[in-house]
Amino acid sequence: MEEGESDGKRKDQQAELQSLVLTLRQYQAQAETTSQELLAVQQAIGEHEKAIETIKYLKEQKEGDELIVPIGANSLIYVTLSATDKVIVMIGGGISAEKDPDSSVQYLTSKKAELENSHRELAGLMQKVEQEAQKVQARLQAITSTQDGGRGASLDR
Amino acid sequence: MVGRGEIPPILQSQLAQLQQLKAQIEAVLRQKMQVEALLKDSENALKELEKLDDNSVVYQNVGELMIKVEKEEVKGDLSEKRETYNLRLKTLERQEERVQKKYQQLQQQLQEALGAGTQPTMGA
Repeated sequence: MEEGESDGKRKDQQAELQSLVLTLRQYQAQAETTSQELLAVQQAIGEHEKAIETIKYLKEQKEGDELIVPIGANSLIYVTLSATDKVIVMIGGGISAEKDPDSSVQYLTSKKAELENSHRELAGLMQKVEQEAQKVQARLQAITSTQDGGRGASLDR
Repeated sequence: MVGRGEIPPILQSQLAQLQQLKAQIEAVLRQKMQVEALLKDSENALKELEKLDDNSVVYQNVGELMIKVEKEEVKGDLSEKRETYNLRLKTLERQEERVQKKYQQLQQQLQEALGAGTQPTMGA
């Protein structure tokens, strides 16, 4: 009778362990995706900052000035500045528009603010996911420590 | 004959169906997110175009090239795209609703069937 009860308890624990491992894996996958998204948003913020700085600098230049422009693979070419009052900015939907430097900076600054907002939201989500994963991990450890010699579900990640 | 603690074959097949429905819901949600992003992109572009002067220079990105286009023409194209995305979104919403309903029905059915016997963990 007692043996039957302990067998039932062990089965219940085994089921809980399996469910916890599954939940933990889901949290880990979510954390990985969120971390990648955070990185992409961070990179986009950096790009916007660079573009804003470049446009601000461009305003101080004059037509005919010589510049060096990167073309990829750490290679650069010489170009002559033909206009300092026009910047082409992508506005979405596969469309780009010519704007004056001030409007361009304003547009890019608002886009950067949106990105920073997304970054904050993602960072909050990441924190929540990590906290939940820690709770699940603690419960897993509590169960495995009560089991004889750590027998039970495999906790391979 | 089914032993104690084992799930009968019919319930096993229903569980597999439940998993398929869950995968379907996830796929629809992914598609919805993609269409929502495209819709937002088109709406943002239209909003920005409205702010531009009539004689503003506008380019359409075609692969690596940028082709000069008329602002009004682009507005028309974007509005059409917006309509298409809105329609696609509505279709996906209906599809999501239908699959969710099926999923909930099957889940309830399974929970009732398994309630008397084994208690499975259905992390839906």
